Amino acid sequence: MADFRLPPLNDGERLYRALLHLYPARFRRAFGQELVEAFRDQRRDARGRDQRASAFWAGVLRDLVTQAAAERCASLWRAAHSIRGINDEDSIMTALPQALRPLELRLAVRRLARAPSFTVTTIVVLALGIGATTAVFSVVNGVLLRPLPYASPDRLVALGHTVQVGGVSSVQQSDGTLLLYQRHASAFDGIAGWRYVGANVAPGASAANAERVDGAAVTANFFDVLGVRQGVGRVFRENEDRPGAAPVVVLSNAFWQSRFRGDSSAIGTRIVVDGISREILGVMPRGFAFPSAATRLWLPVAFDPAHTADGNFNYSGIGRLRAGVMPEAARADLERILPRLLEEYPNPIPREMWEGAHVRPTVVPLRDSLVGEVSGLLWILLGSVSLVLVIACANVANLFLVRGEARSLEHAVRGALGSGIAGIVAQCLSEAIMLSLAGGIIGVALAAVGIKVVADVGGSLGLPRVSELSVDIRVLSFAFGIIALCALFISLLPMLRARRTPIASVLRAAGRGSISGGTHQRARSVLVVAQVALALVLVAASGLLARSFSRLRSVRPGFDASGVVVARLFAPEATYRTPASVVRLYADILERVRAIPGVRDATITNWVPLTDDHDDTVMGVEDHPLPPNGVPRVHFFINAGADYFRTMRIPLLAGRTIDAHDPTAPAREVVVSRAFAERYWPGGSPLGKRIRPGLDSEWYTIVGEASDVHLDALDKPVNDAVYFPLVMGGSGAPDVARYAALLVRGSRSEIGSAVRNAVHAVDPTLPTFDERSLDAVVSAASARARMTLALLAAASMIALLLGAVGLYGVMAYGVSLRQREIGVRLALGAQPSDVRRMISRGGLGLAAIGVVIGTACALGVTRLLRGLLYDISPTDPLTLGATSVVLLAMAFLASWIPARRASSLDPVEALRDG
Amino acid sequence: MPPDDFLPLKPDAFYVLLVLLHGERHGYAIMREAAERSDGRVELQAGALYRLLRRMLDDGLVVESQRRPAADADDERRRYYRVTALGRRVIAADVERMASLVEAARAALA
Repeated sequence: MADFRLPPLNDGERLYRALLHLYPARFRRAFGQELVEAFRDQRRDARGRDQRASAFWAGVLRDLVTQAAAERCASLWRAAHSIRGINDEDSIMTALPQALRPLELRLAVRRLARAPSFTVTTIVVLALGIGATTAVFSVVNGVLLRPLPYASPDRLVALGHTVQVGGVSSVQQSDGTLLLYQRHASAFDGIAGWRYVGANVAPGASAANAERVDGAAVTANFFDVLGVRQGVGRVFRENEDRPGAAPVVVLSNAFWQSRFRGDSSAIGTRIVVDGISREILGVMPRGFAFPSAATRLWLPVAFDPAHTADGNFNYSGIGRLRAGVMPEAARADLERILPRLLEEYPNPIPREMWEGAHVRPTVVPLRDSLVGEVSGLLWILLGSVSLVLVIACANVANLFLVRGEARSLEHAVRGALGSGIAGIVAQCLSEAIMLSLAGGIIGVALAAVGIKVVADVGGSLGLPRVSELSVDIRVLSFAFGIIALCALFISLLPMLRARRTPIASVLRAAGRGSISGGTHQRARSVLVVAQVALALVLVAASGLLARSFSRLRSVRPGFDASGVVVARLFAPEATYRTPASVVRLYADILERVRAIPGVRDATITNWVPLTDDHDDTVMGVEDHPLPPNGVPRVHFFINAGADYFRTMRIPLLAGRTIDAHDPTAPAREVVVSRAFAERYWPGGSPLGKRIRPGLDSEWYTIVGEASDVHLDALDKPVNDAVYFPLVMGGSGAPDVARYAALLVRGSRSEIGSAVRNAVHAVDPTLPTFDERSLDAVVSAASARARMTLALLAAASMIALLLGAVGLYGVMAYGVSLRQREIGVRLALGAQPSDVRRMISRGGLGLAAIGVVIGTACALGVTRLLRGLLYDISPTDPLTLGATSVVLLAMAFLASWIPARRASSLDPVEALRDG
Repeated sequence: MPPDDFLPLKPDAFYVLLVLLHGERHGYAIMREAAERSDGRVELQAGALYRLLRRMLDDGLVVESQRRPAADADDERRRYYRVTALGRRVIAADVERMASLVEAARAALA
């Protein structure tokens, strides 16, 4: 029996058929069937040749995508030519120069001046949109795009290491690694190291009345590697970064100006830094701000090649690549050198342990390492303000359409009298240009103000490079570009309409006294749907951030911050030579502080939670011996003075706190956090177990278990932490933190100055600094999240408002067009409520389409926020649902007013006027 | 449009016309023969070929043939294309152009 079945459609062919929809419909209708035939033939041949399916499909898909795109462009091109009308001179190309003629622009200004409310509204909307976009772009430009302000900045790299050690994944540089790399690396012109330091700087030759300033300890070649020269005097010379070198210092321009009024005779004089008299070598030029804008002075490090601490990665490394060397090649160079570390710079670290840690160098462009995590945030902000700008433009385009409509009679008359379409288009374009320009100029001025604000508050939010922010040529070009785009965008629809104005019908309709705007109304509806959809994306994004922020707010830090003030101090070695003297100083201060009326508790620690304070070390646990080649885990390390847990109100879950802080007989006792206990003794008690910091120190006995605390961030899990006594170390060499913070819990808020006085009374040379309430510390920990939320919320509020205004405009105008119809309905007995419902339904319908499209977009877009969200999914259904409700509510409000007006029409008047 | 407006022909357009000078062909046959005659230098993919044909149809260089080849070789579903008089003139003009180029180059190299 003959088989009449058609050849079976297999999956490949089905896919190909589906993909043919990439082609324009006309092309597909003409050649679709043949393309399928050719596809079959090709595949048969490919199988005959034993061609791999993947290779075959790669060819087919490449052909399909490129040709479909080309054909689409071609068909657009043809369409553009076909609406060009009868003669070519009537094109946008000729309208543009005409629109830019001074006369045309002057006429445009005159026309706009006759419609002040339209003009002012448009300019305000555009100024806000352009201003916000330009401001955010200038931050993106200054922080992310602009090269670093140093010589050949593309050759500057940041050097670090990755490690495979429990509790830590990356480390910076130690003195040993820096010295090793400096000695052997061939891929670099220079390698330098630095770390942040604070310094007590006295105003005169004596140490009294010192103030605390931020500084950096740097290797001698630091400035050479960055490629900067001093403004006055000189910078460090070789070997000034070795022990025993003469004490010297380089000042920042700002510090020089404030302290010496820019007097160059200050060079060569001495200032007292941390109790040591140092010679001022030179002053850096204005604007030099590395490692930070707050850096006031640079001190040389004192690296001792004979005594390095290879495992203390306390320094940051920067390098200048040799010309033509890529970062990856430089990394390979360092990796080759690193194994020599333990031979050349002997250290107690056992070789097996060092190898077990898998230390590997990293080399990344310095700019990337400075900018770090904020880049994603900035691009998201730029994206959101761009959306606001698009919504603003859609709104203005809408206003333009309405205006164009009102003038369609004028246009028709001009057309009938023989004026070319180009004339009408030019008229519209010149108005758009003037409006965008005015909005743009105000916008750029607003942006300039905005940048100042960002520069002021950005630093405290951890935004890098804020001191470099300015409106430069790139920002101005950007602003000019978006002004031009705005002008085109807002005049595009009216221009396209002008081409197709059916002169005869407009004139006829005008004779009847009504101009129907059916097609215009559709164009405006499309704009409104787009606005609602875009607004929904923004509202959803800020809704997610708001939910995330409220979750972040409800995170308990693990201590009670209210009523606690923080004041830091630093006990310089030059004044307090022995640990015992430091301990005595702390004891004296605490005694005085506790005597202040209103003070309940006071303590001293090296680490204020949720600040940049940080201390960690590998720790050994006695009953968890390391496997061969094992590397001990890194744990956070806190020196807790007496009364620490009571002052912080950190509940003690078991055991007791450490009481003795005697410098002569350091207590070898520790308190561990619950998370630490759970890690090693899940379900059991840690009391009585022994641990030790480092590799070979004495064992410490766990005497207490405290509840968990967020030490480094609220949006990360609680940390497993170990609380050591203030005084540590073996009986022979006690050690105590010199950089310390006073925590004082009081009943009154104004104990801050009393604390300062108490310290001053004990030692007048000792400044207190960074004084603030612990509450402020906690809220600063979520400051960036709050700022992001505030910005995005502002953007989405504007978007919502503009969306509502747009919808209102369309509905109100629709009602005015349908007056006659509504009048008839009312006259025929329709109830006002029917009319109201009819109009509202129209508005809600438009909004609903926008909501559906917007939700689909939001599902895609909010994924970009993932990194900014805490404990909430980017597609959180509750947020998206609530957002839709908000948008629909807005739509209801926006259409309610026109609906009300429609239902209160007097049918007699409506029919007479309509 | 005068034939010179189409010159110089791109290689793929040249080979499509060249193939069609030998008689009416359907799309896949054009692809295969163009590859053969150019020793594999012109490997047209389906989309590229039909876009080219679309342009040539628009420009009047080829038309869809109403005649069919011998009945047994015919395939009902396929469309066949043949070159028009304009198409002939265009490829002839391009051949002339290339011939004079070759001549001039030979003279210069001699």
